[in-house]
Amino acid sequence: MTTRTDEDLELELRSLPGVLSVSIAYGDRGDAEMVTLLVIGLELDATRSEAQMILSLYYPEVTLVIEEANDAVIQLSRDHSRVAIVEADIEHSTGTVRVTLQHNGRSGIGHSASGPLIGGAEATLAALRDLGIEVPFSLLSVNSVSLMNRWPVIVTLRSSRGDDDRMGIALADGELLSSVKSTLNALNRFLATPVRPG
Amino acid sequence: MVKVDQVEPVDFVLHSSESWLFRSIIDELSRDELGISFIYRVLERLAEKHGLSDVVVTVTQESCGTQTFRLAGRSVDAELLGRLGTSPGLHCEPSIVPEDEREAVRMACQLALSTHLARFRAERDWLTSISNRRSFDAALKVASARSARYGWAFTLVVIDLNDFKQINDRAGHEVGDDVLRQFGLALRRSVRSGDTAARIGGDEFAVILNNAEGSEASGFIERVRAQMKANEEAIDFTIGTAVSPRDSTDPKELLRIADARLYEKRGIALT
Repeated sequence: MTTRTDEDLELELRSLPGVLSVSIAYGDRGDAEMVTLLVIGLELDATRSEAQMILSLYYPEVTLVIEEANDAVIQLSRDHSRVAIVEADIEHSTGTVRVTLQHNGRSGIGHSASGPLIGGAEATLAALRDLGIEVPFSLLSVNSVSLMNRWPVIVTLRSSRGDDDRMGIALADGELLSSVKSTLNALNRFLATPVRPG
Repeated sequence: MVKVDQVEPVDFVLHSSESWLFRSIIDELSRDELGISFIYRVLERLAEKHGLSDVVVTVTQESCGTQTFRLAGRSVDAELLGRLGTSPGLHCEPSIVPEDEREAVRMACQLALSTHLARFRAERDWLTSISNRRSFDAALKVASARSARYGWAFTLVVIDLNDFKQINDRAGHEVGDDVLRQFGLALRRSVRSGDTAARIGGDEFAVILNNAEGSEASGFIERVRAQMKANEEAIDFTIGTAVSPRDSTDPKELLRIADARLYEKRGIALT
């Protein structure tokens, strides 16, 4: 349980340039024992000394651990604007889907002829690649599931690099948009830790 | 107490399915506890509700940038964040939390961070991060009331930087600001836990040393001087002190006495 003092410490550390994440570890007696910062390494030394100074004002004895964010995070942080859905259209007579995405002012367009569910996901992956974003995943499954009279779409993507599969779920206006959002959701939202068995 | 209108506007929409979240926010606001720990509590509650082993929320906040919080304050490792990305949102796998609830949780977390930041800004001096005049006045009032009621002693120290205007004129305001920051830092490093250090004017500072009657104050002043000696821009300061309850138990009177003693040292008479 963090105290107001710890919250102030956390906020001060979070306000330092390059800091993405702060965690305070507590010992058995509830005392702060270690503070870990995940930082972008652009100004690592400056951030480290500032953080050490701030920490010393709150807890002089507490250990400070600085973890440098990896290249992927640095790239994402430099370019953290979200991919936006501009348009998702379907030609019902042929089942042809066209998805337009936007990122940093650039547009990417993807096509598929596989209908609203599978086509939505395929066209989204194609649009991302058209934007120049590397997507090391292929489409594994698209399912529309019944949930309290609503039909969210679940998309599963398989990694071409041997990483874990990614799943996304979305409920939007219509199957096509749900599929597009679910695909983006699968790529955006992921946790390393598996779900605890029920 | 943070007023709701001090919080940066957040497009906050709660649906009936997130009524637990709404109730939590109202509870925490009423107890003035809507801060960073609220974020961790929400993540814990969400994990419990949906049987998740882990959950991460990423929010953006002016002056903090993109920030990632993980269940129970656990650290987010670089590899995980690389896979997550830094896009704002609630991240869990598989995504069994309904989208509207995820969005509501993200907004609640954003609100909590905004609220804490608003309180922090309301109580701290923007330049030095020590207490500002408003929170100093409140602390002095509390210390004076305790002193009057229980006889608990404290020393009020007011501090004026010498020739600060000349530094500003000679070296520019940026250097002047840096001197103020350094002095604020020296105060923060020199006070004991439970004392209050504040910037109460341009180059005026004040400190409340609890349970101190004179000798502790001189030790504190020596610590500040030692800190400032290491500073590039040489700066000296003049102090005035007042001790409660000996001198007074009225906050305004204590400030007047401390000011008068400061000006006496400088050879200036207060009118």
